[in-house]
Amino acid sequence: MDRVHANLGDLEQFRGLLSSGGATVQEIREGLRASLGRMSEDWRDAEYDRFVDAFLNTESALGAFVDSSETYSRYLQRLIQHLEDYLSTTLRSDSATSGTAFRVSADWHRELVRRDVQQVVGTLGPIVPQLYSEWSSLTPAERLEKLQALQSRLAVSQSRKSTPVVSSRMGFSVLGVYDGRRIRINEDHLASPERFWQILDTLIHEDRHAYQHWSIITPGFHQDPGQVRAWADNWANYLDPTEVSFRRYRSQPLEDDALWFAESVVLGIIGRKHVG
Amino acid sequence: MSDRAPSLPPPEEIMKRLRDDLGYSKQGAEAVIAELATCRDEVKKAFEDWWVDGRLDTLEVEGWTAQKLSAHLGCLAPAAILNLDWLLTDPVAARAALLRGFDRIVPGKAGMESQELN
Repeated sequence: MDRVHANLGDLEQFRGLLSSGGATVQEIREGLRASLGRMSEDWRDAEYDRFVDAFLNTESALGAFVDSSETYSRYLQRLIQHLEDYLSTTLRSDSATSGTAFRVSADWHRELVRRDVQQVVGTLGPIVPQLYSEWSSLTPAERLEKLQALQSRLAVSQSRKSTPVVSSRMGFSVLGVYDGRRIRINEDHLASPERFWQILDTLIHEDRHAYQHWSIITPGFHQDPGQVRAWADNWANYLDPTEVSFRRYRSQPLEDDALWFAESVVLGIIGRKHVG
Repeated sequence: MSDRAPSLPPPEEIMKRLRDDLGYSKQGAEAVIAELATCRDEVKKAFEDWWVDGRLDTLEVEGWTAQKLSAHLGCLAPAAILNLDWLLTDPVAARAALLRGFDRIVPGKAGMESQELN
């Protein structure tokens, strides 16, 4: 089974090595360049000219490495920061768990759904960086408008009707609700500027429920009829998390699919945001 | 905690109380009964304590009691007790999930027909 792992400890360690390695190479490069300049006063022959040519070629390659190490070190720093932000509001186990010790995995064996994930990452990926950069300066009402725009774009890209996105009061542990007609987002969470990744995860999760619902009422829409039957049966016998254990709630077909789907999409967007 | 093996009430009694007193859905009550049957003994004992005395603080796992879980999640007592079993068997995954919170679907009686076509 293929698995995708984002081990923040490994990422941080590599970023540190890359950064210090780049700095060390730069230091050596500058030292050699200065020494070479001084050496030219004492070493004047054809061999010196050949050496200088060879040195400058190598030094140019070293310069490219230093530049790229700085670029990728910054890239990894941002990637780590975004992953930590996302994980801190979605998957963090508790305050005793180190920020670099997370191991996030998503099963990629669901080949049919993987294409859905890639499609959604492709649809939202170009939009999310701008939204992320402006999120903290938006009012809750403006954030809701942006979420509605994301949902509508998603729905259009999948040839289904859009679903109204609204906010409402709910218990603090409740992230969102899909009621068959609307997606509801916890208004306290929406008002909190640092919850961007969690809100995005919630929107994609609830929209996945809207997708599941659309699949149930639209025969042939979803490509796996067996999965649609499981969703329909679960829809009629949904296990509410206030009645059963979280283990049981999360393993039912509708939630298992939506949890995996949203997590995969958000991690895909975070990766694309820095690669693209 | 005493050494005697916990004795769960008969399933039909659990079903009746969950449905009549706590407003459980039929499938929710059935799921609770099924999960209880496979729980660790200390969790069954915690359920018995709640069933007999209404106590939710007799078992603590990973810093959580059923009372704290119920307050944190707004969940019903049997669900809170069952979450202790998950904390016992898979504490890392359970803690992460419980702290994350949850969403829910509210299918409603007309859920299948109510997708808004705007």
